[in-house]
Amino acid sequence: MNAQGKHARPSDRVEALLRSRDSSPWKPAPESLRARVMSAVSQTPGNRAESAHIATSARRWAAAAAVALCAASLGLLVGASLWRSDTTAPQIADSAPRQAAPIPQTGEAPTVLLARAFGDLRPAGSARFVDAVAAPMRTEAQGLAAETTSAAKTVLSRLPFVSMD
Amino acid sequence: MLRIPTDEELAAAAREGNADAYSLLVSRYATRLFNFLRRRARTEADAEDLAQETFIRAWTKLHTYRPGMRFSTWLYTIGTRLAATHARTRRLPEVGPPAVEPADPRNSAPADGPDPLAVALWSAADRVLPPEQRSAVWLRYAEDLAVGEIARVLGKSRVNVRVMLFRARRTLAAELARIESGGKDAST
Repeated sequence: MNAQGKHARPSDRVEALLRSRDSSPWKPAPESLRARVMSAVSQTPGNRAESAHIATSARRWAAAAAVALCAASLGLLVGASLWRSDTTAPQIADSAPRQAAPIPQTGEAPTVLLARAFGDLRPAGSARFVDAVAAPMRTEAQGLAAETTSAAKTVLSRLPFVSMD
Repeated sequence: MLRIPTDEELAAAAREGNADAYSLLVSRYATRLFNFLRRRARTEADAEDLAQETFIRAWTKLHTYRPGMRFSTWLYTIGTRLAATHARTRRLPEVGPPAVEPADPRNSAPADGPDPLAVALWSAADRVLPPEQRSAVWLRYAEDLAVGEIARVLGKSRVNVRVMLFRARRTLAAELARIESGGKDAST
């Protein structure tokens, strides 16, 4: 009795047929396949040699990286300590802006002080700004400075206890 | 007493650089791998190239082979990945071997050879099943691999493989009905 007659469910019949003797369509591999593979294998570095080579190469790279990292860290450390000990070298504290002179205690409100400071700085600042601008643009710069001054006066005049006169 | 070495023993020897052991493995698996890859390649020439590439890749990657694993599973896994890459890079769908329309199975009486209905069913499997199902069916029924091994080869879960096999059997049952009804659509 063949595989088709003894199974009620179609999928069971399918399974039995697929498993039946010599039914699967095997086809022999081409004769040349094995020769081609072994020819290529003989030219390819052996897996053992290759893995050993990879391992050696990886170890060398890791060692070189570790040495470079150590040298860089050591150099950084030595450089930093030399820099700190060198008194002639410019220090961070030297380059920091000096502390501003204390504001004299006049008993005036801060807004009044602010207005006065603006009034003191403005003419010099405007003059420097106008001088820095090239001649053809000087008129425009003067206008801009005047507008800025006017706007600043407007703002300051709205503050309590401030008079720009 | 002379003992035939297992695939795993040969693979272990090949791992130590023994090319003769690997040559024996190639002889054992050339036909099996070629037939498996025929289910995933467009042409037989492609399947042959893929088989060659798989054997060479396996040789260079033998140091990653774990002796606890079956060599066939490991080899087919490499073949599956190469076939998928091959299909992707060439932007071609994976198709099966050219299906040969068999002689009408109802007219040919089974003598000592295979059941003609079974031969027709395998031909239908190559023709109508998608590549993944075709590979699963081949590995299960022609190679007699366990579901877990098929899952590892195809990179799927066991449940996924069971579902694939179920769907393939259902499709083939419809094809079987069509074959038995003389080629007419089984649904009509």
